[in-house]
Amino acid sequence: MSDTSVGQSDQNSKGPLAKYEPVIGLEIHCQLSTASKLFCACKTDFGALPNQHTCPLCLGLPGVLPVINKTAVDYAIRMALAVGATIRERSVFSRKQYFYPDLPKGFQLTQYDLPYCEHGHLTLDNGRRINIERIHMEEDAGKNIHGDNASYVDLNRAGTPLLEIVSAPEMHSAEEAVDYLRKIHAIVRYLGISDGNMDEGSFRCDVNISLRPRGATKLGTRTEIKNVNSFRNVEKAIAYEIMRQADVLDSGDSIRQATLLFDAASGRTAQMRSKEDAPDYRYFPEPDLGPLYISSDRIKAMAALIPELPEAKKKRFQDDFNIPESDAAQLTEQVELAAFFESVVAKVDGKVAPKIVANWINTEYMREFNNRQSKWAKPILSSDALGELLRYLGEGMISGKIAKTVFEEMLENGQSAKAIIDAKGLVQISDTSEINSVVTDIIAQFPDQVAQHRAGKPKVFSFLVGQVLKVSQGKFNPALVNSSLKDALDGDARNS
Amino acid sequence: MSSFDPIQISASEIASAVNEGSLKAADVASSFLQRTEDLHRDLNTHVFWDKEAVFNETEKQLDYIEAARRAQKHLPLAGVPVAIKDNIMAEGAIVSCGSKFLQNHRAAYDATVIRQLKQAGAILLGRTNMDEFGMGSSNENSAFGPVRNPWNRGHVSGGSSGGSAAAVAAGMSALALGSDTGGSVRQPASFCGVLGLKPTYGAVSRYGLVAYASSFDQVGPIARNARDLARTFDLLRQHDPLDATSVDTSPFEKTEAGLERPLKGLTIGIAEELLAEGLEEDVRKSFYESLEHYKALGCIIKNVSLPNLRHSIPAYYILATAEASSNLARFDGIRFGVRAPKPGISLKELYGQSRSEGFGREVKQRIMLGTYVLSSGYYDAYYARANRVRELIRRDFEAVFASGVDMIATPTAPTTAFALGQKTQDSLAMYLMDIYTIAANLSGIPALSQPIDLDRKGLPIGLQLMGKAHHEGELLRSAYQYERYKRWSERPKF
Amino acid sequence: MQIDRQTVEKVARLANIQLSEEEIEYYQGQLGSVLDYMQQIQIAADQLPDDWRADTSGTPCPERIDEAKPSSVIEKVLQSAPKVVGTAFQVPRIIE
Repeated sequence: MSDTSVGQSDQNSKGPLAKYEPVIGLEIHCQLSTASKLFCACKTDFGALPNQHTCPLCLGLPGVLPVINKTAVDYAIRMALAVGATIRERSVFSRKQYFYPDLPKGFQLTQYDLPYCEHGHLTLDNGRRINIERIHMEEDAGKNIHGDNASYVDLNRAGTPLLEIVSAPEMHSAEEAVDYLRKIHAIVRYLGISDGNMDEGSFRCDVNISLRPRGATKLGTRTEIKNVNSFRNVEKAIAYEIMRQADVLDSGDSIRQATLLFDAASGRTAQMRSKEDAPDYRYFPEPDLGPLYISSDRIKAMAALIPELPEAKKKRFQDDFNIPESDAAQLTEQVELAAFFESVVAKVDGKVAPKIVANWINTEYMREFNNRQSKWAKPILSSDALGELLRYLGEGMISGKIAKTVFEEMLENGQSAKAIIDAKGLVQISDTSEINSVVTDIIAQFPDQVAQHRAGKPKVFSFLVGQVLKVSQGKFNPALVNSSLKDALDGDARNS
Repeated sequence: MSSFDPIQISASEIASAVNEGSLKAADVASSFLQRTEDLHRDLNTHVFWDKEAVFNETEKQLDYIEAARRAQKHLPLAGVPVAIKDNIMAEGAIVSCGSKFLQNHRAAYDATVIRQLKQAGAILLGRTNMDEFGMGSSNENSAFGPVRNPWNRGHVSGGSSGGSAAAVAAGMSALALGSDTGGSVRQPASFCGVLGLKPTYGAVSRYGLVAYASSFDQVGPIARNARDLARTFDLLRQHDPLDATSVDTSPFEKTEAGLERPLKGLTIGIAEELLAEGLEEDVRKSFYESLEHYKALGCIIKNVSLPNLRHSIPAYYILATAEASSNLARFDGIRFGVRAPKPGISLKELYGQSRSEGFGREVKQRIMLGTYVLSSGYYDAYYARANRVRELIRRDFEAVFASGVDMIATPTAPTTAFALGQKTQDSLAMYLMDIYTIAANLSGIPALSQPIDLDRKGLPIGLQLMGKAHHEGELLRSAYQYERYKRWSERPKF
Repeated sequence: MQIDRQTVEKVARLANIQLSEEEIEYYQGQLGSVLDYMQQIQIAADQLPDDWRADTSGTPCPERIDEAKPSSVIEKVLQSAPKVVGTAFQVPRIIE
């Protein structure tokens, strides 16, 4: 992270945005979580020694033939259905030909002019509909590792199935682009078709971006930022590129079409070495595979396997649990988080309003979850444990403030809420006579504030409540403190 | 049967004798090994021939054959020596495809057809010379020198499976596998006086066959008689899940079982329009004579029209070179094969020099032709159009077969084996040698070449029969009954 | 017919084949005459509509069950590969 990178401060980003409208499109590459590769039976696991997950096919040895993975096609169909796209009955794999060490066959098998899927869409949080022009299947390349004197080729990743999801150039800010990316990410995770792991490169995107004067309809010259691999970097790369292009345009120059790389460390984009020739990929249909046929029956069967997706789940959370859209949106962004929420809600058994559960999870729980870099496979606290804690809160056994203390304690030593509450004597005091006596003391101690309250100053009441709670070390039931203090003050008023 | 003549004995005779125990597979192997040892230098039929190594390799297979015999399990090719074209993967063997690029390349796996042959009890007896990557019609495009025709050493063997055809003709093995992309099994079979079959596209697995032009390539057997050809085809024809273009039409009738069925009533179509220019007089004469013999066997001869076939050669050379240019991109000097040895070169130079030094002249030419026809701006004019012509040719055949014709006959090649060096400076003249064979590859139908006669120079003449898709049985039965009617027992002299 | 030198050079570059002077001349002639001969398909092809496609009319491709199977082929490949470091293939340093 660098403070000097352009586009970070509001000062800078307001300037160009007033004058130019950014036009942004994303090409997302999403690795499908199949057991084997797209055209051979090698494992798709990450992190083995170079070339350990290879066979004659993905090594590009002579004489081998591709056979497509059925599950990859199934997953691709589900993705198409999730974004309301049209599925082509007969699509075609083509050879995209170029020489590169990580491309063992000298061509990449990809869908070119007849992709299996077109015309999808999704809706951003701001209500704008973004069209998805096409989705196609293709195989990933291997990896070139660069040393000082030589480069080294590892083909473990070569042949891994990818979906390329291509949006229309319809987004106009970094925020929209990130929102779109998050939504696609959520969908593939909900569908269970990809691990969506951005660190390992199984979910990455290329950003196309151009500027045009506000009000213009003609698209400007675009640049393409390759392989951006985190939400944050997408945001930063777009912000930088908007600034850079605006600068170029302002100085009277024109944008040159180029392929760029984003350097996360400096927050800048830089041009990749330009090729001598414009690429001529000489696409032609893969003769070793017939057309990929997707029947309407198969589409129906896949449709039946599609789980509730983020949009629908968000709507249901709002309706069923009466929580605000923003909370529901946050909860449904990750499929595991949504499930966690529902599980906690079930645990508290109506003792706590879902709204409070949502607040707790979105703030306390997720803050710690992220701070501790937790994973859903082994979260910081189980839904059972959190549910138990929140149930005590709902039953009035502990106050909200105490609940937070107990929560932190639970994270530190792994004990149950009950054990901590018992051991530390944190049970909330609801004995009215005990509360009333402290209330009386406080009224006596703060005559000025009592007078102000009576004069109609609203804030003073909370101050007095705070004083009472302080004496009780947070153990008094705040609702009872409220009513006791209210009664006492009103009673005094009547008496005087 | 303790002694036999390798050049006359058939594969089926060997298999029967080995299965019965009257002939030892080991003796068969030694006999053919010795014959190959004696003849291969003269004919240049084999590449990287090493008698000791081949002999050692046979040991495991000999045990397998012996175990099967003891268990009274009849292997269809028990002890039958089979020579393998050098573009078919057999684990551990140097598979060079007739190319300098692969002269050190040891196959890391077995082709499906190799597994099938081993299972059938065959003994793999050497790797045969070929036009580099299958690109040629005379075997003069091999990095390891041309194959000489066993009938006349000054003439070509035909190509690209020249080594396989010549090895079978010379009795160095009873059978051979070739591969046929535009006639590469049939034309050398014709030039060498043996039989060759190009099966229906998809009938035989291509897994492990080094691709030249994927939508045309088929592995095909070469034999000295129709029964051997049928038996080999029967065991190769099998659905292979490793080849997505492999056709699953099981259960198949064994073509060998149908060989005796009479030909009476079969209709053979003749397209006069194909028999005009470039056809040698002796070939024409023998062709028409052979039709008379078929008539005598009960066949009906009928004139047909295949108007689009005259565009076969340009359509083929566009599509096949396009596919080849892509199939040969993997030969980049990184993972296998030859790398340009110069130190300190860039990646670009590594590619350019490895390919420049590794590939021969014709291969470079076809890669460049294919690159050209696929390149931006030319795709529609060449590649897309050629695909439409291919479809028109397919439809021509469909129409003829739908009109009650069972097979179409042509000469296999317009000439007999020509002299070495005669056509090497003129690509087009060489390409025109494929005029009769290419159409079957374009349309995917099966085709067979059988020897019918010798020309005035004593060189064999071949007849080609093309059939409906998956009707190899009719072609094989026709060839079988023809050779019984007009016995072909001509063998080259040594 | 000869094709021009630039065309031969461009195609050779795309195909990553280095050609000598002599080869360039040879292929100008050979490619020229073959390409010329190939022109004859133009009229024939017009019997079918321009939008007729071979790639969608074939037999659909079969699909394979998604099962990972190990392959031990890499050891053999590394043994006969031109240049290997550890288990990776070595190439000249790639300059991006």
